[in-house]
Amino acid sequence: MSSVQATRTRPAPVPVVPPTTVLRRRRRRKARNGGISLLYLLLALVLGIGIWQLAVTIYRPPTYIIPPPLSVWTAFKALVVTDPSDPNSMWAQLGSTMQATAIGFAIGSGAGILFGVLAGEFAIVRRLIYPYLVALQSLPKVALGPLLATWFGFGLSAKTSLVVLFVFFPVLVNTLQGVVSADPDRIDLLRSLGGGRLQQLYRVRLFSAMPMMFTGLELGIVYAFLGAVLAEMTGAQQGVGVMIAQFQNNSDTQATFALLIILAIVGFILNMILRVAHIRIVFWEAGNDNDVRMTSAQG
Amino acid sequence: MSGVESKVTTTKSVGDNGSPSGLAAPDGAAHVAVQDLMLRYWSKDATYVEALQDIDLSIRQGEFVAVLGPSGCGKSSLLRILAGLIEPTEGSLLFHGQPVQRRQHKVGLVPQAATLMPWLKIVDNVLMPAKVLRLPKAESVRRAHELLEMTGLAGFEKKYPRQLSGGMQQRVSIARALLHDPELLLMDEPFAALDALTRERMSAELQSIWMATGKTVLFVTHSISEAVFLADRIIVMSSRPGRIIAEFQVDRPRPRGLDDATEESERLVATIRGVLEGDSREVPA
Repeated sequence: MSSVQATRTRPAPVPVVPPTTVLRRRRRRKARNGGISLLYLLLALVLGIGIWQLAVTIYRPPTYIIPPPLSVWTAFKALVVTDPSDPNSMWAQLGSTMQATAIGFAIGSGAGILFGVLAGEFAIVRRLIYPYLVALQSLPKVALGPLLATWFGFGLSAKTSLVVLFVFFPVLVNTLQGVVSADPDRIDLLRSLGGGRLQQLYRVRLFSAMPMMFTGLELGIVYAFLGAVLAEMTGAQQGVGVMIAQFQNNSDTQATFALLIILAIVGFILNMILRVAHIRIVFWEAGNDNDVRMTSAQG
Repeated sequence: MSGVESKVTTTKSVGDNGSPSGLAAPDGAAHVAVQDLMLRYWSKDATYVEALQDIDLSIRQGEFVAVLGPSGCGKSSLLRILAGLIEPTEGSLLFHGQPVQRRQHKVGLVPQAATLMPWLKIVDNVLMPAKVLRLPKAESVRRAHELLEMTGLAGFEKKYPRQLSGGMQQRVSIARALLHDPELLLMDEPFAALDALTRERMSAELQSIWMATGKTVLFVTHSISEAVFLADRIIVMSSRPGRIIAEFQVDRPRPRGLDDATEESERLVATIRGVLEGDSREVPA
């Protein structure tokens, strides 16, 4: 008994580990952590569906209010297993939404970066446009949907213009912040060499702004998709937003649920793409080796 | 015998347009000189700051001058004026006896943090001055490799700053400051962020780099022993308003070793500490 006690309290010998082993072990641990978080994710999913099923079994709500998981799964399959070449299929509709998202994102983020840099570089630009931008941002942009539809019709350009409005602001604000917050010592170094404002901009400020710029783009892509779906719901002929509106009109709640799940997956993938691009392109940013930052989008 | 000679010069009073301090080189031989430099400004919290007062300083070609002083004594402001980053309120800046306008002279700046561009490879960081000044490419690249060799960074050209230790990053910063063959190397507490051991090693390496290049150096530091080890001449500044209160000539032969601190150099460290402490006693808070 006492001998067991003694062995237990004896300090464990410090293992001598060659550095390569440490690295390998760390890598293995990282892979294991990834596996564990995936496990948790699946566990949460199973648990969530279980509670959902349980609630439906106990309270028996009408299907048009809360459909049971299985009927949503059937509706999900019906949406996914369709021919993309059929213009009425979910894939074709999603394609239309994605087109507006992509074009709107390209224009909105391009303009956001351009004006963000200009506003960061010139105090006059900042003072001129900033109050209006804030006013524009505080406007519920969804309310502009019908107006944009009267201007641009029910086609692609109306949707795209709403997407542009959604993307522009977060990209601009983040770019501006990034440009302004460039390390003054780096700027001084360029100035000591006689580097003027233009050189300061393209040798230091633009690079310094990139981490924040990408944060804006990560938000922007989610907003873009959101804006496209919203535009479609308020007035368009094509797109997943139109589908949702139709499902709602038909009280086809399981199909609505299924489509919402698809939209969530698409939004997640879009955000992931931007995040991977962020880590790849802004490779010098501290912490880009391992962590995956969460960007939340609401609105 | 060359030992340590020191001489304390008296502080000049305001309005005295008299001759520069005795140990400074005569104006004709001065490589870099500042005359009657004043720096005053309104700080952000709306107080009037007299940062520098009556600074007269001449530096000979190839001389290593260290500037010592308590925090906020304006030693960094002096360096920033020499770097052309801020304009003095009064006074002039002379290179080879000629007054210079801002940015007409070439300086090499080594800031406190290495301040490398993390998005550029080491070799491109060193080449930064060539890019800014639009120097011929082939020649600059050759020089960059030479400097990386000299600073012991050969083989690290293609690495990124984050892959290097703090000491190595600071050596990159020194190599970069030398790329465009500047008239004056300005170092602003370059080793302050390093650990004690690395700091000593870097001092020794800086000495050999300086001996190999023969650059005129202004080295701002708050480490007395570092100044005594490295400098030909030590300028001691008072706390606000920053004035030169003492100058010490250090004639120890070179190359100086880290371990062969003589009794005289230790005595000099003590003397300088006495001057600095005396100053802080005079100025409350």
